[in-house]
Order: sequence, then structure tokens, then C-alpha cells
Amino acid sequence: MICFRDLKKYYKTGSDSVIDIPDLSLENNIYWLKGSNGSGKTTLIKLMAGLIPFQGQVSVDGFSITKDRMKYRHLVNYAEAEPVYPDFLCGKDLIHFYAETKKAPASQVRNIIEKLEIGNYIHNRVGSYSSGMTKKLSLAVAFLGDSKLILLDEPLITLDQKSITSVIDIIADYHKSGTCFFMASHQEFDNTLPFSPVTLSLKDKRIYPA
Amino acid sequence: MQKSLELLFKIWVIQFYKLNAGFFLFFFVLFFGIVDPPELISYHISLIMGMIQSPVFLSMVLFLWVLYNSKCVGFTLKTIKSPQNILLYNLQTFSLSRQFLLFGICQLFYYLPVLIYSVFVIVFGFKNNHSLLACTVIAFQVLVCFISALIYLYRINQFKAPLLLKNFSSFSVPSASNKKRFSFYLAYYTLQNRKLALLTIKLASLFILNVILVLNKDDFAIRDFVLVFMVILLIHSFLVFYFVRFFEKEISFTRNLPIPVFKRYLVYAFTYGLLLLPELLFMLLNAGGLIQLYNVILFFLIGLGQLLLFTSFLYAVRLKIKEYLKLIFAVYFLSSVFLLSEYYGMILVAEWIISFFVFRFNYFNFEMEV
Repeated sequence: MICFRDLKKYYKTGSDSVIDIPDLSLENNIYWLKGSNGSGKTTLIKLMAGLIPFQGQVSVDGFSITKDRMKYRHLVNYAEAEPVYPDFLCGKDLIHFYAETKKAPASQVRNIIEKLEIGNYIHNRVGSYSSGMTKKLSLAVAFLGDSKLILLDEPLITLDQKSITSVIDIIADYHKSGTCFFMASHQEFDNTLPFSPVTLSLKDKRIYPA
Repeated sequence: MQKSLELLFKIWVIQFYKLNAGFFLFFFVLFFGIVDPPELISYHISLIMGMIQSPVFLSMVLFLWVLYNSKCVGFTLKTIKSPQNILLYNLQTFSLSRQFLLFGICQLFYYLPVLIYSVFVIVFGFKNNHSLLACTVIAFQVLVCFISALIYLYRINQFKAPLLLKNFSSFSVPSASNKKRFSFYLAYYTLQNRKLALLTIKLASLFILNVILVLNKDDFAIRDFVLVFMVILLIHSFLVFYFVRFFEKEISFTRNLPIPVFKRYLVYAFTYGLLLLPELLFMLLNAGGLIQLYNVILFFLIGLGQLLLFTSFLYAVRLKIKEYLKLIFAVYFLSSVFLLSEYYGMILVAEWIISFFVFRFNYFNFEMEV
């Protein structure tokens, strides 16, 4: 489902690579990628999301990030660790924008807004949000559309317990209907949750089973 | 107090100049780089004499200085508000006069480029028997610095500010109930975060057009107009830099969205269309008899093409300001040569095609420098 081929990421020409994955395939599952600070988790997630260039190939369900740019971006959603949005936008502007580009049905939009309980503030400007509110908004937009892979960087930080439960429930529901999750965190996964993810570790530029 | 001043310098003044290095470099090149070195002094003397002799011109300059100062004040207030600078509130333990002195010194350093230029205006004013005008400039600058320091004092001590101080530099895009379209993001961004740059550029641009099309109507020559029009586009390159930086820094999440490259390119083209609308209207209203209507439209489209070319070059040089400046000056000279040969159509097509392909090739290879 997710295939990495000769994946290398350099930040400067001539410097050492920060990611180096020669060949790896991951089946549809829920992955929890661990790694210490600076190990390259965010870089890996960002390049999988198509935010930064790299050498090699990443594909999802056979669609390549570089050759099938539009299709790949329909299939892969992403929420960053510490999201920042332009302060002139309201939450609903962003939700409408994502829903439009990711072709999300209105019922799905309503459902996500309700589950994450963001309806009471999405009419306000993003600039007035707390970090937890912004995080919930970024997670909400990552759940929109008919994606096959959702990339979540530090998905549970800054969230309150109730929101964590809601996010976990949504992940479980989406996975039941066939969506793969690739989450990165420096924290251990809570074993009391309704699903047990495959834990991976990012060490020495490569991904290993933990 | 010296240690506190050092700290304020690090947090405010140095950061301000660092963050706005592109802004200062741009204006430095504009004021000192475009004019031939032998004519530089006479150019500035004529500018200063213009201020001294024409109250209207001086008022415009004072207005621009106020705009620059609102940039300084806006930056300081934003810094005070940011969570990492919460330590600034410890300044409350100083007496108000001491705080005012600290803030006043910082304000003087923010305002230094304007103050240096003002000194020349004041000296020339007194020398040429325009003492009242020179005194007006002195009083104006004292007032600007005094009010600014007062604003910082009010904010640090969380005093309830008078309405005038409260609204100073706090204009923002009205919250509209209708949704904001992606195509307008750059326009919203400009109105929200780049008001000063927009206003300065538009005033400068319309002032230049007014000189060439209205004041100089009797001696109008298309060659002069071409060169002036290129300078206007060069001035706009400053906003282009901010636009690309906004796209790649603040809304980089859009890279994950299935939006075709040509649509992203069109967002820039659409914004430049809006941006150059005042120039188009000015030309339509004032260029009758001087430039054919067909050519006015061509110049407008060439303007869009040129800004798109600047945009694509920014992607190619990864937003490095020095490389960008080199490229835009190269474009300036090349375009001037072609336009002077009156190959308008050719340059229009070339600009749009080259800009699109450079943009397309570099867009997905682009990454902000770490």
C-alpha cells in the first residue's frame, strides 16, 4: 500500500542525508512511528505529504507522489504537529477549502465538525484560537475526503482528554472502512486504546519495526 | 538599565532589522542603486528641495514616514503579545519615566533611517530660509517618536489606552460572513499584513505615472514611459517576494491539496491583475492621445507577465533575496531593451511562457532554506 523506493532526503547539497530508506512496503494498517527529537519523523511525514522535495519514490496504492501528483494528493491527507494558519481565515473557510479540494461530501463535513466539537468556534478567525483549538481544526480537515492514507504528526499533543477520545474513535472508524494511518510521535502509544497500532521506529535514517 | 536596553535591542530592534532585511535592501537599492552614481547626490538634493518647496510633496513624504512608523509600532506590539516574550512584562517594575526612556531609545533606533533623511531635510530647510518647514519636520518627528514610545508604555503596563492609541496600526480585513476563496488569499494577506507596503508602492507608482503622463504630457515620449513603467514593476517586486513567502511559509499546507500547478500559477496571475488595476485605470484615464488603448492593455499584460516572471524566479532561487535582486535587475534591463524596440507582443508572450515553465519546473522542487 505505501511503498518507499530509494528514498533519500538531503537538506543541503553535499551534506549527509537525514532520511535514507532503500526499499520498504507497508500494508494497510495503523502505524505509530516513534523516534527521538530530531530523528527525522516530521521530515518523513512532510515528504510523504508532498510538502518538501526528496530523491526517490513514494507511492500509495500504486500512485506515485511525483508522477500522479493530483491523484496522490486526493489519496493522502496530512495534519501537522503544530499547525499555523493565516489569521485572516476562519475555521469554516479552511474547512470549506479542504472539503472543496478533497471533494468531501457535506455529510462528512458535518459529522467531523460534530465529533470534534469545533462547531461553536469555526466562525471565528483562526488567529483567536488556542493551540488546542487549532490542532482540532487541523485534524478535522485531515479527515475530510476519500483518503486512503492519513498522515498525522504528533496527533494527540495539546488536546484535552475528551478530544483525544474523539480523535481515537474517528481513527478507529476510518480504519474500519479501509483508511491507513501513519502517525509520528516521540511518545509511547497508550495500550488501553481500541486498536493496537504497528509500532515503528525511526533510527539512523531508516524505519525499523519497534 | 543598560542590561534591559541590551535585551530590548535584541528582542525588538535587531529582530526588526533582521526580519525586514529584504525591505531595507529593496529600498536601499531603489534610492541609491538605480540612479547613476555621479547623479546620486543631485538626485537626492532635488528630492529634498521638492519636499521643502512643495507642501503637498512634503505631506506625502510625512505620510509615508507615518506608514513606516506604523510598521515599527505594529512589530513591537506583536512582539509584546507573543508568548515567548512574556518576560517583557517584567519591565513594569521600572518607574514609568525609566520605561519611557528605554522605549524612546528603541523607537529612535527603529526610526533611524527616517531620522537620518530628516536631518538633511531640516538642514536644507534652514539653509534655504524655510525655517518654518524645517521646524515642522522637527516637531513632526518628535511627536511620532513620543507617541510611539507612549504606545509601548501603555501596552507593557496594560493601561487602558485612549481610542486613538488603541486603533493605531490595528486595521485588519473586515470579517466577512461569506467564505474566503483560495484565489483571493494573497489579496486578503496583503490587506491584513502588508498594508504599508501596498500603500507605499501604490502611492509611489501612481506618483511616477502622474509625472510621466500628466505633468510631462507635452514632452511625452514612449521610450521614457517604457523605462518608467519598468521601474514601477521593479517596485512591485517587493510585494512579489512577500507573496511567495506567504504561500510557502504560511499556507504551505496547500501543497498537500490536489490543486493543479497551473491553478496555483493562476492565483498569482489573478492577484497581480488586481494589484496592477490602479495603474491600468490611471493609464486608461490619462494616457489618451499619448499611448494607444491597445498598447495600454498590452503594457498591463506585460506588467502581469513581468510579476509572474519575478514569482517563478523566486521559486528558482528558493527565496534568496540576493539572487532574486540580481535576476529582477537582469529582467529589468532585458525587458527594457526589448520594449524600447517596441516588440511588445513578443515580450508579452515570452514573459508568460517562460514564467509558467520556470514556475512549473521549480514549484515541486522548492523548499524553504533551513
